[in-house]
Amino acid sequence: MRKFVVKAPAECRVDAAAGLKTELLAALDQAEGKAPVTLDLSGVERADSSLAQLVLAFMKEAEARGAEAVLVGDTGFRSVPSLLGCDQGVFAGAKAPAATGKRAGKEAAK
Amino acid sequence: MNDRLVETFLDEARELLDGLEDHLLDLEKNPEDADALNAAFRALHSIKGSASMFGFDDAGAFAHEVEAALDHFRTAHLPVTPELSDAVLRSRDYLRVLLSNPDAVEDDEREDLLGILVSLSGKKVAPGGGAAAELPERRDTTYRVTYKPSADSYRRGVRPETLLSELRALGKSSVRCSREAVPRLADLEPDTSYLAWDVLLTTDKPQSAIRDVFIFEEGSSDIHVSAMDAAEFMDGEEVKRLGEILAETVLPAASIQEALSKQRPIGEILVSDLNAPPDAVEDALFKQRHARTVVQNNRDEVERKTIRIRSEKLDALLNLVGELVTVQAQLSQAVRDSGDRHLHGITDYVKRLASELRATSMELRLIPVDTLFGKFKRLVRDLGKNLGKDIELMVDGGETEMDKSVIDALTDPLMHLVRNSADHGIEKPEEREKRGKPRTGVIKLSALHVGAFVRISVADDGGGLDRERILRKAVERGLVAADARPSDEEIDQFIFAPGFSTAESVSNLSGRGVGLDVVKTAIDQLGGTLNVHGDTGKGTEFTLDIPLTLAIIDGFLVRSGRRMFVIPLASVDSCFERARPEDPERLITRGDEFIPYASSRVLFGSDGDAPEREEIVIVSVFDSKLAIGFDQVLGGYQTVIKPIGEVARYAIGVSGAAILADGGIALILDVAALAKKLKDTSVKSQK
Repeated sequence: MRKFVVKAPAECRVDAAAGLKTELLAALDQAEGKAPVTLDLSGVERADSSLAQLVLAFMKEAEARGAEAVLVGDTGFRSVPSLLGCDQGVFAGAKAPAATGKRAGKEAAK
Repeated sequence: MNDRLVETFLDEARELLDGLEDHLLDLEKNPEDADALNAAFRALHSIKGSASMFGFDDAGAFAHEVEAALDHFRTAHLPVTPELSDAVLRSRDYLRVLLSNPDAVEDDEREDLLGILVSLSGKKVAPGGGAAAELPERRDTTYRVTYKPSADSYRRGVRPETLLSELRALGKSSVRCSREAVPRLADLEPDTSYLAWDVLLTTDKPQSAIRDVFIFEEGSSDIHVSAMDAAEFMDGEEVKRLGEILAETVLPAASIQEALSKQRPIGEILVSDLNAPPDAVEDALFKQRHARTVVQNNRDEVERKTIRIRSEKLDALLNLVGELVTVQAQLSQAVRDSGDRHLHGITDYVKRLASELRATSMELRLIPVDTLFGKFKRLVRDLGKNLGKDIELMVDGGETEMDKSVIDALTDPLMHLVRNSADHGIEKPEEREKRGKPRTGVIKLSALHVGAFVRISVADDGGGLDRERILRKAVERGLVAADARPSDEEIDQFIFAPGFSTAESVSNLSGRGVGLDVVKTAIDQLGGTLNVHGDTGKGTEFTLDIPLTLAIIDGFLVRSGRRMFVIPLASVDSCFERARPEDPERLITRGDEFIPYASSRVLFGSDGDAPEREEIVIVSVFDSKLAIGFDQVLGGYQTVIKPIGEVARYAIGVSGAAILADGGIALILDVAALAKKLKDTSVKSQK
């Protein structure tokens, strides 16, 4: 199966969000819901809540398309709750992003 | 009653009484300081409570009466009068005696104090009865903060997560984020904010502190701050159950009780049976989670508190570490001799561990010098009153840390110097005015680190040293020939001669001729030096240079003939080698500096032939340097200082001894004394 991986840049603040959005949408289009699309955050060195917002939108987009979204490297400060300044796993309203998409473990990261 | 518990109570009571004294002295300066008054009240309240609990009923009852008098001023918002602070200070002293040596208390003092306290409180104080009113302490409040940044926040350069981080720093917080408004990626405008945050913050800071975090967002974004009733989710220090939390908000308590009696998961019951709105359940969970955070945090805070260890135990630890350091040096030597490389690596590791253990153990014994300086606030106040002088005590460098044993040993010498300054140094207010000085005299205590020493200074802005009178007395006492012309510095030193006093009359403070020589002896015994400087009319300054520790030092091992010496490493500036000159000079040059020089062979009379080359060690002694020539420099050496007792009095320049790895002895050099010896020799030879 073909893999669709989008690697987030090291500097991942609001200025980088537009470029990342374009890349993710292109990957989702190419995957056509038949293959998972992976967003790799492992190379991110600096980020803010705009990245978290983009990740959440990516998850929603995949869900709407019936595609599988995979997140790798979202550990430590790169985790979505961390980027949002939240306690881990605390989201108001609907389910946390890890439940809608899929957060890859070490295997997926390889 | 368990003796150790009683002892712990007594330790704490002594600390509280010392704190009480500080608060009262603060109140004397600022009689309307409500914080100091509250703190004084709290100290008495704690003593009262604990004393009764540990069977010190008399102390508890007396503390209650003092507390009642303070409470009168506190609740009536009255400024503290000198009469009140005097009475409470005396009461504090009485309590101290009552707790430590009940047989020594004087009933008259008790009656006298009770009479004063009752008259000050304006009412009859019922002994031993009634609990004191609770203090209006600054309590934690829980706020709910909701923050929805405006859509253009990112474009305005706002970073919501930074503001949240500032908010979280104010106290214990729980944060959740609403992602509901975030659209699908295709519809997302990346530089638009769609997020919103909900924060529960428990803090002792006022609401204005929260507003300050969002000061640049007010008007642009949607921010709500409201105080919550903690009873919604907490019952005292206990976290409420989910049903209880919901009962406070959306569900009737009776129906929850009924539902809870069923053996099913609480979430299922709440949503399916009781039709609790999912949002409300989620909100209740959020509050419950926050309550747990707060409770856990409070428990952690209690656990983080320090533990009390008797100083004897620390002494024992340090002794063991000392022995370990000695044995480790012997081990290293044996391994070096064996040439075993594998063992060499292991002993290096042991050496590093021993060094870290030593540093940590030493650190345990360090306490701020403020604990010593603090004792003199009361002394200076009382001395001023007794002598009819206005004296202010200033303290600088109180955070400087020293070994506890050194601080203990400094109490009496410093007390004498402070008394001396108050009695002989500071003039009467009228006299000061005549001399164009402020009516209030100043005694300044300061401390700072200088290399391996702490320099403590006791300075006053009083009359200074009357050298003419000192010299006259010195001649009278036969300390110096009548026709001698000693330097100012030499004259100043006469005041440290045994029994020396220029006081015309004997006061209850000083002038008995017992004093500065005792101070000097005490400082000598600590391996320190005591100096005085003071020009007539310009005040006097005593400086005490005290070694940081009396136990273990990092040293620099050197050899002269067959004799070994250790120089405290902190004093070593540099070293170099040169050909031994036939006719040694008194000064050597290093760059632009002229440094006094002496050969260890001359200073200590080393045996054997001198090698052709000489190794010079330059040591720093406060603001000057000294060069000493040795036969060989052997390098760094950590060593335990062994006192050499009375011998040290006659061996100038030696402060102790160390046992070497091979069992031999090395003398530890007192570089400050050596520098002084060289200077004196140089002055005499010039004369």
